[in-house]
Amino acid sequence: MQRPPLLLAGLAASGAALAKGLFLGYPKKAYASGFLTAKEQAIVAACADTLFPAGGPIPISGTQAGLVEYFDRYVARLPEQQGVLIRLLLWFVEHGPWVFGPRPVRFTSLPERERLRVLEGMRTSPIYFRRIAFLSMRTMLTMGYLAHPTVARAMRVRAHNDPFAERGAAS
Amino acid sequence: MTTRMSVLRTDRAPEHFSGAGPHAVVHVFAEYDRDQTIDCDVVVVGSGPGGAVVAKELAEAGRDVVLLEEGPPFGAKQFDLEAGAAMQNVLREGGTRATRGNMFIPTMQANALGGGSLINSAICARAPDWIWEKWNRETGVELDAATMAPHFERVEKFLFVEPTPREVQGPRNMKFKEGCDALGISSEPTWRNVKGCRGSGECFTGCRNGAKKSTDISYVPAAIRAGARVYTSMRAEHVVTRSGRVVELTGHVVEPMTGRESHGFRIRPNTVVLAAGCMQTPVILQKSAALTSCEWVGKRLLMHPGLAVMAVYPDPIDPWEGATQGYHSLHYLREGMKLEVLWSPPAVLAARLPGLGRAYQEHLRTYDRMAPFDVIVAADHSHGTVSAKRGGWDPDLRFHFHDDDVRLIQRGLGILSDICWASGATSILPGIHGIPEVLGSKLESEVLRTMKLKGSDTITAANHAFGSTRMAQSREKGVVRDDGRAHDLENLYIADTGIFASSPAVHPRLTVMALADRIAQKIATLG
Repeated sequence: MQRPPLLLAGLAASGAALAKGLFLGYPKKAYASGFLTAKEQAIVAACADTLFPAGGPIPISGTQAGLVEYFDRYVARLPEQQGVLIRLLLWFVEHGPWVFGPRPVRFTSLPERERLRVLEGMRTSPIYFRRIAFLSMRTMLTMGYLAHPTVARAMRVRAHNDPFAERGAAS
Repeated sequence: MTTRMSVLRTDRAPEHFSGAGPHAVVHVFAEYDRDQTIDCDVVVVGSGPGGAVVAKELAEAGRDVVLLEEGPPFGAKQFDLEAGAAMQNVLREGGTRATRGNMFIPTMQANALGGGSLINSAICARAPDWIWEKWNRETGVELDAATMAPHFERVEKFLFVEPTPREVQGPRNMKFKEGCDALGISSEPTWRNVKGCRGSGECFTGCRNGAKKSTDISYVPAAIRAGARVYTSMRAEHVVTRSGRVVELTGHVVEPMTGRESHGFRIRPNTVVLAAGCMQTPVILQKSAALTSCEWVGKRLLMHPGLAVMAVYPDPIDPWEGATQGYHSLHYLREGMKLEVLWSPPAVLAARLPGLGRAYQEHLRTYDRMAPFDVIVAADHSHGTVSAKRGGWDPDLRFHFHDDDVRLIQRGLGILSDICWASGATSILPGIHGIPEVLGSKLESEVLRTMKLKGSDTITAANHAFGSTRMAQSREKGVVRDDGRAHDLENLYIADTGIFASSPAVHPRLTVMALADRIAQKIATLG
């Protein structure tokens, strides 16, 4: 039986749209010599700037704090099995909106407001695994964010191996 | 033998290291250029609290000791303050290790010369008298407080164990004391194995001041001084048995950080002491098919689950300053709870902070007004397993956090919130799913007592682990006898927290060191 040409064209168009929605349209690698793929780096960047936006109470954003490079290095240094799990976590965030909303597109294709909704949905989800996934992601990114000197200054973190002697000397 | 031991056994850790420092003659990865075969009298696997004590004591007793450590040595200059790098450098599985079961419970286990003593808070507490009675009732082990006292004293003296001085407490610790005092809850400075602590709060990432007497700068150098040979980056994998004895220990050299295997090694000892930790020792035994007739190997992993809340004060208290865990309360110890001050790199503790985006940044910005307090529970109803995985040397860890123990930790949360308010907190960040993220009054915080708390609602961690190769008077109830010797292999001993019959009620390290001291004495007297 011969398939109607219109149906074939429709299927091809849907397939192309799905492929684009799933795999295409990512920017080039933000961190050129990186371990993660360009797509994975784009997911990290989107998460980083959603979690740590520019112009907030702490003056630099996640990507300005170098979180893509930090995350890349972090995953590269993990044992292989753990590294795979972290990369799966990135893809879980990226394609979560198809299942959990707000609409069936990739996380990186959403505007900031909707990205915030996605992460908020993970953070407060009744599904334990989603909450853990969010917590893991946020902890890794927070480690990198707090490692940046501008952030540390904004938080007034004082890493000193002899804090009380310094205080005594100052007074 | 007794005379020789009394001459050689030293009571104080060496404070000054000749030449290039405490690790100068430790063998490291770069030296291994071929397969190795090593003969010795005693091989000790693991340089953490248990193994290092055995190595030093037996070396000082004149035995030819080889100490193996899978991880590399770290010097003070190599300690990295950045949380991610610190965890990847020193912790197994890059700091991502967690138990599975009815929830994920992160557990930080070290892989370095000095083992867990390198990165813990240096807390030293003796298992109380009633714990020995409990262990005797449950497993028949003939240990009591009087028997153990000289071993505790010996370790405490060697490691300069003393209460945390007031000068290095800092406001974070003193807020806890203030709250306990106001409520009539007894509290005290933690006893710790430090000398010259400056209150840097950096225990978790390694003490840059060298004040914490971790075993890599205390017991291991003493063992070397007495003639022990120390090999790092060597992973013990199999014990080879014949006619009820271990005849050989085999393994591989592993590259630091990557874990890549290179050369093989064989050790031919008269006696083997496994002190690889309660999560690695069972794996060695299981992969070796040693002690397979004993059903207890890896079958009763026990832990101290802990849960923290963040107290927020109206004024800065600079929580990053002061002893890492300088104050605690043993008031509820008989009920299975210990309350304490907590500290680790801010990014790790930030898991409890609420919000996203700007709201999260705002909480980070006020971090200097926060103090984390935590409750750890004995968790007598919860247990798990340690199993060897196929194709790797990391264990498969299962742990079921029992509802009764969740209720106990919830009771502790209620008391912690009282301590927060009594110490002047203006809000509490509980970090628990399903309740308000910021509790602004004592009334609001009553939800911590009234809610139906599930383990999976919490961010629970458990770094104290034990019981996976427990001791018992009979082989039907445990893996080893109370002198550490395996019931079924006459020259195999275990000297890590795996031998605990149940929770020690307090931090397990001092207790395992005292037990290791006793095990070493037993081995030494065998001649």
